[in-house]
Amino acid sequence: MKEKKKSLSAQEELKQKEFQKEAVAHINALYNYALHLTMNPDDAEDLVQETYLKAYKFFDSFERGTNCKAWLFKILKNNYINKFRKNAREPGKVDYDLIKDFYHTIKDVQSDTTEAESDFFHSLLHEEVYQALQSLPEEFREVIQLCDMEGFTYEEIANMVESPIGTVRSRLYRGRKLLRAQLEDYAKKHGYNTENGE
Amino acid sequence: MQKSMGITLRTANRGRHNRTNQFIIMICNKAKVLMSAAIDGELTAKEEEELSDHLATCAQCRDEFQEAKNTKIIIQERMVRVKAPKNLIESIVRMTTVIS
Ligand SMILES: [Zn+2]
Repeated sequence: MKEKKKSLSAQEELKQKEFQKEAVAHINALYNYALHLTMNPDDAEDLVQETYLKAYKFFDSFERGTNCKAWLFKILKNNYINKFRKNAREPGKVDYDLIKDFYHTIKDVQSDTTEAESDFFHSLLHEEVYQALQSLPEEFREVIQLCDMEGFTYEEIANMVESPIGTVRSRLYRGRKLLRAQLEDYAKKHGYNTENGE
Repeated sequence: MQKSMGITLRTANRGRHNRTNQFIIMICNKAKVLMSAAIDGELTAKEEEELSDHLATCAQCRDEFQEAKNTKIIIQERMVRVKAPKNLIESIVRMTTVIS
């Protein structure tokens, strides 16, 4: 009796070790993703917690050797859709005050690197880039985040957003075009010439 | 006879010229779509060749490519990133320990 219990817990212990090594390592990335989805630190914490609970439960079904981070993101995204989508803000409708508040609650953690460069890209502030990204329709913002911030491949992103790779590719192209227009607006406001002398 | 030949020739020239312009515009538009994926290292070998062939001949697209690269760098460098709260990390480590 005692023997049986011991071997079971040894197996469990192995699973725990592997899970903590493989999955818990991505907690910062998951938390950031959750924050950007929910725009609310408490909701983000809940979401990450539920994601890990589910991930641990189904860790046996995780295909070893594939991208664990992508697997976790997919679980988090599904959780988010089930939990928050019903009362999520409408696409295209952005609450700038909410974004500003949110930004100020989290920006203290960020160490600011001030560079002496004078071109318009370097003149942009974290807040402006953040707002520009948040102002994009969700379908564009999401793929840019997953690609540029998290470094996922198109195939991984396609799996996460449940769209063909070609759609991911064209959303990235169109989203970046919109984003650049937005950033150029900020630059003009700062008095930078974005015409590149053309 | 000669006059009509001249008109035919002019029309034919204009036709070719329009086609060439349209061809260039089409190539630039396609190149712009390819650039976005090129920055992410997601082009096929054939597409990569297509893009670099075009960039070699089109200064405007070369500028555009540089700007597109900058946009990606901006997002990577300037996006706000935070660390997960300590209590969240602790509770998740605890959770995976408690379940057994
Ligand atoms: Zn071109």
